[in-house]
Amino acid sequence: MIRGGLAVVAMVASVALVHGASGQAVASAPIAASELTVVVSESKVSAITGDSFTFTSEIKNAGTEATPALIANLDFVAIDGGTYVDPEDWSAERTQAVGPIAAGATATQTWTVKTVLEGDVAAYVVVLPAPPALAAESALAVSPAIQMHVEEHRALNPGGVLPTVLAVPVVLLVAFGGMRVVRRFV
Amino acid sequence: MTTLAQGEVRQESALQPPAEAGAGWLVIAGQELRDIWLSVRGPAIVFGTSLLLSLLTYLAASNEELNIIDQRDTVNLVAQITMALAVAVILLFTADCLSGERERETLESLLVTPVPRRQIALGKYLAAFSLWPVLLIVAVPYIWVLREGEGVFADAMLGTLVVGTLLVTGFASLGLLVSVFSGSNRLSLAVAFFIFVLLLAPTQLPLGGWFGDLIVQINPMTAGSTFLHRVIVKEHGWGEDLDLLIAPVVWAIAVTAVAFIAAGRLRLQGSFGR
Repeated sequence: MIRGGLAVVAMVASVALVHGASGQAVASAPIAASELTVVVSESKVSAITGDSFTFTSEIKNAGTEATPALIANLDFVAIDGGTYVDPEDWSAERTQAVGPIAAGATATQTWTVKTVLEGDVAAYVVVLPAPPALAAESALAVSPAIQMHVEEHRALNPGGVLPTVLAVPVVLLVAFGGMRVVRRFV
Repeated sequence: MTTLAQGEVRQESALQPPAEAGAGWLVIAGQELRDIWLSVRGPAIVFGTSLLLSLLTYLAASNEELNIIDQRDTVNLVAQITMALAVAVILLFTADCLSGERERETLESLLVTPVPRRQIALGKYLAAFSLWPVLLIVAVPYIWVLREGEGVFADAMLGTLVVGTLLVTGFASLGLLVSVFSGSNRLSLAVAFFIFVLLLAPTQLPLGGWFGDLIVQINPMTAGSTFLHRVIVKEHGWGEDLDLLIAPVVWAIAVTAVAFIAAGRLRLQGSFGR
């Protein structure tokens, strides 16, 4: 009896959920890919390992209605076939929330990239609607790729640490050696 | 000269009162400090530590894989290695301090001096502890040169000072405790180092879930390491993670209390491992 009652409650709840979900989907219809254009401020970058650079992306709403809230995501892909790319190493902040963009308006994001490994890597920004507007048929808008050519940086004094890493042991050696010499003669 | 039967505990007050009651530990500490710092042992350890930190700092700044690590992570790495190294070295010094004397057959002459047993232990303990501030000072230039961003240096130095002092206090006492009862130096060093590795190992494991959280909270090494990581890398305020200092504080107080209670029962022969 109790089991039957629970089944009825579950059925009513699931019907309510289905109605709720469909209602949301109708309220925010998927935006067409052609309505959003994404451009980036760089097209080609030459760098050495350890460099950082910033660029901006600009999302333009070419449609006649305001967009829902959006998510902009920066992604990376190796284009030389050999470089291992872990996106989180290349940029600490790769996802940005973008508020609704009015018809004809634009939104600008700033991104920072650190070129951690040598090789040829492309970066691009992809824009998709934030939930609840995000649906299976939601179109994505993608920027042109920024082509990065990264060469290995070999430095004798990386980060200016060389004087310290040499001086500390030498100073200690001289200090302790001096103490022993002084003790021998005093 | 008073001769003692094997295993006999000398009753200090019954035999003779300490010549300079209360100052015996100073004499022992002075002798031990000279033994550590005017011989090769102390300077060699400090020099070796500086070489290790130099290598680590250079790699951190130049290696392309380590380039990926955030600057705060690098500072945290240097701080944690300094702390772990100091704990290990001081643990081995205190683990050797009484069982070593016993094995070299010099403990008897120490026990017949008019210095209470706890003061003998305190003098040796403090001399071994003197390595900690020196090793911390050696780490200062490395942390300074790697620092980037506001407050990193102060967070790292203060965090390492607090956590390191608590851990060194506890582990130095652990070494002393094992040394009081060990009949052989080899056993004392092995037991002390085994416990150190046992407590250090979880800091290298991916701890998750309720059991992982429990280990992080109750193991002084993982708690101290996590606290440092959150203060230096995650930029947490000191008040946010104070609960992580409970285990190191309890560890330091409890083990030190037990070690010095046990030191009062120091015998010519060890209780085990003869």
